[in-house]
Amino acid sequence: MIVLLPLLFLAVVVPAAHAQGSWQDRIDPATATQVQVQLDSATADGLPIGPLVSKALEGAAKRAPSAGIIGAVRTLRVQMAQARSALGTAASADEIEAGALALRAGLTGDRLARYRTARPDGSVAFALAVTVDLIARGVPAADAAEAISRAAGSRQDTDLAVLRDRVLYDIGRGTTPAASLQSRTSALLKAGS
Amino acid sequence: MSAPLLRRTPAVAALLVTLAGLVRPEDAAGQRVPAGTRLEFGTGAVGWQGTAGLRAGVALAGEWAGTAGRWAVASQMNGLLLDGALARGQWRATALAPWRAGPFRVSAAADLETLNQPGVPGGRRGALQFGLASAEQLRQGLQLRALSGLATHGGIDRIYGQVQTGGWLAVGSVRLSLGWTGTVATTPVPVEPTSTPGAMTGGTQGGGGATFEPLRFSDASVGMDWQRGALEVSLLGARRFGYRAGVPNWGRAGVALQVGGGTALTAAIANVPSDPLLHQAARREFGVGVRLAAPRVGARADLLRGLAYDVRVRQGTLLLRAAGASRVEVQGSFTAWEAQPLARLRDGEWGLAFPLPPGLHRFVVRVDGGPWQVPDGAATATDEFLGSSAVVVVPDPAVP
Repeated sequence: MIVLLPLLFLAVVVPAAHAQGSWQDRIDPATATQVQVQLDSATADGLPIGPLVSKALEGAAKRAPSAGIIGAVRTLRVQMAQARSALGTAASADEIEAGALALRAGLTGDRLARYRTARPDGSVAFALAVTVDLIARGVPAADAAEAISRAAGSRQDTDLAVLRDRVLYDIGRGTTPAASLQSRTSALLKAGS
Repeated sequence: MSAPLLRRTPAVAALLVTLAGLVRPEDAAGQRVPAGTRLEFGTGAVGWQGTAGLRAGVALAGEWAGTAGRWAVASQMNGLLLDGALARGQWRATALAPWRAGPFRVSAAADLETLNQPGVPGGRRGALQFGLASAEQLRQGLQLRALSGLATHGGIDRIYGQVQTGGWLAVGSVRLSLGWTGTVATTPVPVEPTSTPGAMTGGTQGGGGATFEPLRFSDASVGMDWQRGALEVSLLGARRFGYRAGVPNWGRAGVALQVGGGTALTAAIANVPSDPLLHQAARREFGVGVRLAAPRVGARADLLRGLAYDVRVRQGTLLLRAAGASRVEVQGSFTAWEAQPLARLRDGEWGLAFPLPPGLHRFVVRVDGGPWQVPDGAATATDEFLGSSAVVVVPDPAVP
């Protein structure tokens, strides 16, 4: 607890600087106008606009050119629409955003739909986030989607978090990411089955 | 061997051991080489039997992680101006670690030390060692190392061996350590006479009326490392047993003050024990220096401190390691991509001032005003801006 005291101090002293002001203030007017067009389109389609604003601000923070920012926001809007199509119209904003990231990481719409099939009533946002994480660490996208969607069907998010940690542990000790995920997933599904 | 040359030998050796007190041979052998690349240079004084010398040196330490394990390389080069003559010394060490073997970590290391002085044969010593340390004991542990090598000086070759064992315990921001080293050699060594502290008589077998005796002694040590804010303190006290010549007590004390930009001012004082293998007497020394560390997030090499992660989320708080940094900032999806400072915690750990909400977050970090980058150990996702971001996942505690 003593370790976290400086964090408490900062939390009190530092104003809520991460609270957003107007996002338009941080983007040049011409770019902001084009981004707003994408936001309006997303709103009309019933998509969340938070991830789109975040993407525009990310581009500005990384000093991307105007065309790059607008293109990234447009691409994300399209991917979110695809994700919602795969996950169902009842998909939450978190699921749609995670689904869009998964598509960008290499999953197909069909593989995305398997997450919903595996877990029709619960959120698949965390399962998709774990999938994106594993892909980023070297697991082939198809292998990651197959393993995590299977595990999500019968296991809870806490089990998926443990699964991911164990794969990272194996990777750190030289096991190939795909082999580790396969063996760890098999062990998880056998346990308690 | 003439008296001036005798004076040079231990002084050069002293430089090899404690340039500024922060890069030491056992650091590389014990896998405590700081993360990333670190450069130290310094100057100081060496006192030996009433003679003072001026010294200057440079030390370089680096660590690289690969699929075969982790390589740590350290090197020192030193020069000493004494009695109008220049003596030089070098020390290099390479370590590879760790391989995991059950509950242990296995490491291997090699080091080579050379001395070059005007007018006398050079001295060399090289050794191979293997180590065993308890694995995954993050705040405490035990280790055992054994080494064997060949030392050559004055035309005499000596095969020697050492066994080193000890343990460490981290209490808050203090790391305590205990150590014991036993040394044996196959060939008798010249004895440092007790009547003239610091001097060693003879340099060749049977010459100069020297006294020789079998080499068999041990050193017991207790150490402490402490870090708070920008200040690092390192203390070590030891006593030698079974070797009748010389002063039995030795030790060193070093401080480092980080002044920003990866730069630290260092100072150290040491009472260095004699080294019979290379015919070096005990001596005292003082030095000041500057340490330059390439800003880098992560401290995978700092295994003995038990910080085997670089970035993680604990109880919703983003934590990351940034060894040697004086300021760490983060920007990401949870800060609306605005730079936010992290709070310095302890042991080089930094944390975000507010908890991350459940979900997937992307971010980059900046150390000491350097470039925005993905911290080591984090999952990396490419973005649409020809760059990349770290990815962390925070589980929703409300979802079982």
